[in-house]
Amino acid sequence: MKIFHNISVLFSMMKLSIKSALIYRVSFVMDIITSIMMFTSEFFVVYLMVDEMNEINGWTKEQIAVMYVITILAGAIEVFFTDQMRNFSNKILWGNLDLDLVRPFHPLLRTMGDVSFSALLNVVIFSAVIITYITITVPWLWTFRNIVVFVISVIGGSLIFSSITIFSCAISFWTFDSQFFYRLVKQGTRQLLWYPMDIYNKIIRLVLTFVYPLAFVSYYPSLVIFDKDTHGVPAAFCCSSIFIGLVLCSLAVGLWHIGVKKYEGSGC
Amino acid sequence: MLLRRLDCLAYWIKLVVKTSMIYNKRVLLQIIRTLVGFAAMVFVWKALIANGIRVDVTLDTLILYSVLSTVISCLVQTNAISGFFQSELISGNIAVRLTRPVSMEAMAIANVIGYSINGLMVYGLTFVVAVSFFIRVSLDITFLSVLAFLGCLFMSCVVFMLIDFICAYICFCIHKGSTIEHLIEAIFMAFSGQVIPLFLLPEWFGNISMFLPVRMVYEEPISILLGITPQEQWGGVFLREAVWIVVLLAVTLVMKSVTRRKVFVQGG
Repeated sequence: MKIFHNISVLFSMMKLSIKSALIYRVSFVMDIITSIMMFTSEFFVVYLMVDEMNEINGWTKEQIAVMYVITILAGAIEVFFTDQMRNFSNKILWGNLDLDLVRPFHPLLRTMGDVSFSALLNVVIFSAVIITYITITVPWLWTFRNIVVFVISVIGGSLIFSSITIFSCAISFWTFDSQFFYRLVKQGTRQLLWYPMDIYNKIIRLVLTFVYPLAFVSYYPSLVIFDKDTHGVPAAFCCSSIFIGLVLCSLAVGLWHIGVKKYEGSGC
Repeated sequence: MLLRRLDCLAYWIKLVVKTSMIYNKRVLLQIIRTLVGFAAMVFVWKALIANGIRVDVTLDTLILYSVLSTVISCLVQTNAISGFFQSELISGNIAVRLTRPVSMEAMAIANVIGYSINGLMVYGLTFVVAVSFFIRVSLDITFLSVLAFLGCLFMSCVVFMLIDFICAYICFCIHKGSTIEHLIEAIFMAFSGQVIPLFLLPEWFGNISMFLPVRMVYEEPISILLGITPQEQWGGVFLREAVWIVVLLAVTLVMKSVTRRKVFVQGG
């Protein structure tokens, strides 16, 4: 019963957050247009380069485009829910967390309710255009299996990305900085995820598979989608990003609870 | 009076350099991100060369291109001027700034110089030292090409600064500069050769960039140093750069006079 109540409160908060974002319509539309332009230019140069060179390590421009779309969609869903969590350390420093802790609602859910609607909308619009284009150029691509793998990898990827943010929040109980870990893992590896993992050396592949499994966001699912050699990795394992994401999120939330127990408040 | 003002600006530059280095963790983070981004590009170049690249360039040339573009991005700090103007406009400090004996433009230039010195000394130098341990490249670089590169780079910095000034003046009208910053970043990402050299992209794309000033910041100076632009074409590059400086300066001056009349100061 409590779960349903929490979900209903979360949805109400999200609705309010979206409404407040839509108050400044011109600013909202401008944000979306310029963000789409940024994604377009980022994607376009990589796409054109691969097009000019025919392929990169056996990956065609369409295949790289699908990988890119999975990565940015997963990232956008993560940003939609956890955008405000990146400033979590400010809550600790300014004492605002005290207020959240006495509310009858989980503080992490409370922060999740403050969603970033424009960040999701611009990526959805951009991805829809790219997916439509890919569907026209490679009509055989979207079989039932591939659609399922695509959806699983987007959801799983968003969970893996979200775990980075929650870990950052948890670590900030000790370091008072909720940006460092996030920027190091998510933004630091951003450019690495644009390209197929098999162009990198063994060390980078191992780091992205076992240290922080970001390769499961788009690379391994793409191997299955395009029937590529999975290097002995079972196909089910390649599509296990939801499971990996859930485990990582659970660990992150666990660490966050340890942090809360240690938290003494610095209210002012 | 002039000496006093120069002394004031020198002091401001020193302050900017010092404050930029206070946040040690951010410095470390930026260095790691720069190195990871560079590593990604090196592997992409290796994959392209292994694929049989169509353009007549060697791996060493591409690696050195990435090294130089990374160092230039440490030197030219994005949004240093527009960010400064925007924050002063939003906070209302613009009223105080405009009455001070040192002009706001001079302060902004001092900011840029401070950030550039910091970027070059802290990030650029660390990056070059770190990269020199892993990568050995051999290229025929003459003293004359180094001189031409430095001259071209200086003009590029002026071009970049003027573009940033124009963005800053647009902030007077739209009050939210982030949209225009995103727009400029998108144009830079695609047409400047910042991440991917324009000679690896289709010819029509390179032709479009010929009509944009952003190409002057990365592609042109690097191409001169690496010998991609033949010596007999250097004069043309310098001429185009000079024309862009004159055009952008004229636009900047017009915008300055127009926007100053539009200053809106938030009370209270």
